[in-house]
Amino acid sequence: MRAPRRRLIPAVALLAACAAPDGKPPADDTAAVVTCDALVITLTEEWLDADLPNVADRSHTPAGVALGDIDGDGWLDALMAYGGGATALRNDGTGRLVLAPEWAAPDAPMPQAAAAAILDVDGDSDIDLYLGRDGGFEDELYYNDGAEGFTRVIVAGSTSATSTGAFADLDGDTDLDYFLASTTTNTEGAEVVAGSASGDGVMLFLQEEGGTFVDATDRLPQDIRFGWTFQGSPLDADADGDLDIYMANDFGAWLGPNRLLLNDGAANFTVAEDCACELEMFGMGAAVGDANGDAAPDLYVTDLGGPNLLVNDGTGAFYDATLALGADIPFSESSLTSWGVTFVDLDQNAWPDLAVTYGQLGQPEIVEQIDGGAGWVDGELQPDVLLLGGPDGFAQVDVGWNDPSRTRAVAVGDLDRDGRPDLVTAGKYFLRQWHTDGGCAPGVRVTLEGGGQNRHGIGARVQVDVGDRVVTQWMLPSTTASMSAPELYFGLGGAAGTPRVSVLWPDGATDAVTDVAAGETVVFTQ
Amino acid sequence: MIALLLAGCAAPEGGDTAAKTAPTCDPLDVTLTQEWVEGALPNDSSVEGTQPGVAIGDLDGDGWLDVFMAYAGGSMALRNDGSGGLLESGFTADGGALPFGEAVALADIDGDGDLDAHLGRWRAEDLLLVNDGAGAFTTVTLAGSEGATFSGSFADADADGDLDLFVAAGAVDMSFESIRDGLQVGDPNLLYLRGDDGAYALAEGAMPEDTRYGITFQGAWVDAEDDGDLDLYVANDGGPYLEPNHLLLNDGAAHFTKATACFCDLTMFAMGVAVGDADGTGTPDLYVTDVGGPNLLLAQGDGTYVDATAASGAAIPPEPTSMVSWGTSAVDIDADQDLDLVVTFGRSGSNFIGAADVNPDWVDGDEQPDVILLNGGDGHFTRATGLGFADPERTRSMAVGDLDRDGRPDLVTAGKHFLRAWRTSGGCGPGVTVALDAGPLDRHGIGARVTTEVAGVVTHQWMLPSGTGASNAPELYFGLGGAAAAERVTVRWVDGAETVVEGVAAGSVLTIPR
Repeated sequence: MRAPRRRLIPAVALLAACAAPDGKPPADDTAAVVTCDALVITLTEEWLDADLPNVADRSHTPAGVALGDIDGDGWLDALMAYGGGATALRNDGTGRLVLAPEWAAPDAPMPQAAAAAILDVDGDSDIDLYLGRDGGFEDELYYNDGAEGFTRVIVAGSTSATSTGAFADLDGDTDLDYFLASTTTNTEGAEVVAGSASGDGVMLFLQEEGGTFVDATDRLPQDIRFGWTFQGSPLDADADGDLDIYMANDFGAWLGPNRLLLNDGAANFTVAEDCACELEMFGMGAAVGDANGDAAPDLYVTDLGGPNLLVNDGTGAFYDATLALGADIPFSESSLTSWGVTFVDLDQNAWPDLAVTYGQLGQPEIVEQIDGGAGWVDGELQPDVLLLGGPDGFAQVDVGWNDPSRTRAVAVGDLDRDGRPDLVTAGKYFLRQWHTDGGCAPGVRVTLEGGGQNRHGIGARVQVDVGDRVVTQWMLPSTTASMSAPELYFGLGGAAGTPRVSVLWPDGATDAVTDVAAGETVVFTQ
Repeated sequence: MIALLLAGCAAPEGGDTAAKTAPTCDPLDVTLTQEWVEGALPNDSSVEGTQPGVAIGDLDGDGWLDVFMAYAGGSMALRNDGSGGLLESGFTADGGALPFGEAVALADIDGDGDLDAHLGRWRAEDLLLVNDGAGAFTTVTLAGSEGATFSGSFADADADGDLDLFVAAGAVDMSFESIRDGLQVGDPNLLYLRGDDGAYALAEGAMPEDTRYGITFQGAWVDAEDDGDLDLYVANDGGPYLEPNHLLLNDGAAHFTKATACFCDLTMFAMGVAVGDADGTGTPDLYVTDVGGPNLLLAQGDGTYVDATAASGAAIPPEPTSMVSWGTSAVDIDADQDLDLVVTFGRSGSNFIGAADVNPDWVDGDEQPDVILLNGGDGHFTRATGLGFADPERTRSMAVGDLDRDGRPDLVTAGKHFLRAWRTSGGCGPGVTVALDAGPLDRHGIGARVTTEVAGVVTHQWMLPSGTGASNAPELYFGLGGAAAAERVTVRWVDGAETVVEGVAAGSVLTIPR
């Protein structure tokens, strides 16, 4: 006997004229502009070491950044996880981020942190903050109490060296749980290579009533926990209606390859045996997107020596299409080590692009040991890479997003509300804000108000009809150490609109709106 | 007064009786029980280049389901031996052998209580075979049907209480190169309306002209808009070069218009359509077979669809062993209260896949096993493994019917060149078998939605027996998930009226009259 079916809950679609927060003209004013211009990405703001908090030693902790509308004013704010101390940044209402270190923690500085997220964790319709911490510290949540400010809550037991906290409903009760990807607190990569160390162990936390998280790590296969895991990416790899986890593991040859953990729907995970996705690599990040247009979630996994594109055949079995789809980035002194990565249609041509951060590892003694004779050189200057997608696959371009410094993380969000997704990057030791211009904008922005406590509809699939194709994205905003804004940006390739936008909610219910003009925002409510 | 026929366990004379005790769920198996291959099939004429159809129904009125195979070498009818086995029938047409054909659909078209047949043919006009009740048929030529009929499907298109007929046509003179080059023109699809005199007459102008000339394998009746009439989903082969699939919306009087924003007009190599509630929302979803992998379209109930193929696990990746899918049906094969999908596969065997050059990686493998996708109850499917039903040969059509009356739907497949019977065992059966009677000239209640309720689980099916060149028995098989009885069975007739039956025991065969 199975459980009773879930009901299809009628959804209401709200069409707004491009959010139009105060001070900005509604995007309908630009809706008629549907030509495709050259894509340009420009650095608009940056915060360097001296600008950022310095309450702790930041040298061993990578940086992360999350985007989200913390104060509900319609503009995306940011939260930076940083070894010297985390900090919030407030959007000034023009798209510019302004440091606001006391915003969520007026009484004491935020602590050092390795990972960040901005989302409604407890499903009470306001935005909370998450800081993942390494160094033996437990992760922290900052629950939003409205006018009362934020209440700091420790996630008991989360002492692993958090590299990424990925939130999703993993046990099917609609509230958000999280997978804690972990590297290690007390060892160096050289010790791993020498065979004398392993990771602290990935963890699983399930949310209980009231926003309390309970350690459920015993639901993970124990023998694969102790790699050096930079990111655990949720995705429904096997199309069974629940979110699985793809683990991107560093030092694969020593600590085990990447793994796909299959969910039974109740957050009991087993290792996929036939996914053909267990790459033995130096996995740093895994982006989820539809690279080949078949509506099945594919993976782009960063690495030392060059990322890999794994295409899902729709059943949870993958094949490597890195070369076939032009997604290879040959290694060189200036492109050896890739980190945080995301699918995003930056040029809004209705094909997903890939924003791939690069940065010097900074440990030449390790690179010399692990390059397998390939002649790897961990160059001091390794520019970030943008792969633009199109009907023939991907092609590398330089449109200004080419920061050569040690970038570690990337998040996506339309900070200036011009209808184009912008980027924010974090690294050693900086935070940078990038403005996207040109392309085939405007497109369509989609946000979700999911059912139950999954207020962002995390895990939902959204599709937009563009010409004779259907473009697919998923509300899966987690990136390495970071989180993109819980919004989806669909380019329309210069079209004046789309005949339909549809959503497939995590519980299998569907909804759709028709005849959406370019520049509009679709809000689906379950 | 509702005349309700409740048979404890179906149990026609001489048949098995299903267990009266609460059944349990056992491992499912679907096992080959009988087969007829070349040599055992009629060979009155060449079968080169043709494909067979198959239908299940009680042709001789003994309560047991028989089988009718439409075949180019001469059609063949098989009589149920009273235990589920199939025997030579001796059924005749005009006193002689059954005529050749490529597609068959069974229905009681004259309201006399027996099953008649539409026999679709490629090299001659289609025939209506009028049954005397014992398997002696009289043929009536269906004027104007010279095209290459791929499927016929009966339904009351004009809401006058009798059964009309949609004929899906390919092309008598068809070449794959001409399809690829966009030069092929299909023979026209046809709609026949049954008149008061019982004659079937072409309904000129009933369908948009620009939708009629594709290579149409099947037209599936479905009330896509939930407006109380039956629309037509037209599945077209050669879509990238000729016509995409179309949804034709019925105004209730058999005047059809092309839906312009159904998001279901897939451009594909469609071979067949199954209609069923894949996701448990009570709306009729569509599963459409193809070259390169079928598609699952979830119905929104307003005439629009959302493609959930990849998200639902219903994708069957294009491998040499699963490249070309044909006839398909939605049926709760394991009786666990959700709709599974039976998908026949078989090598095309033509030069089309190479000639079409749609995808250079596609390989039309010699062996392409048939597939069953099991629904997990939440609208997500997994491919069943370890079943006997994995015939690698060139299957083309299939039909569903409980041949041995054990409360579990069995299968019959037809292909190049064979007919095979498959027995279903295990699962959560027996379930409840439901037949309908909507009136004197619609004895099957075609188009009606039937709903069962068992321990809070609601399951929907539609009486839409048509398949690719085929028709299922005009019965619906509801699994009860191992329960002893369905608390309620509700029929919503096409026009919206409802009939409710309370308390139906597992193993029952139930005919619900309007």
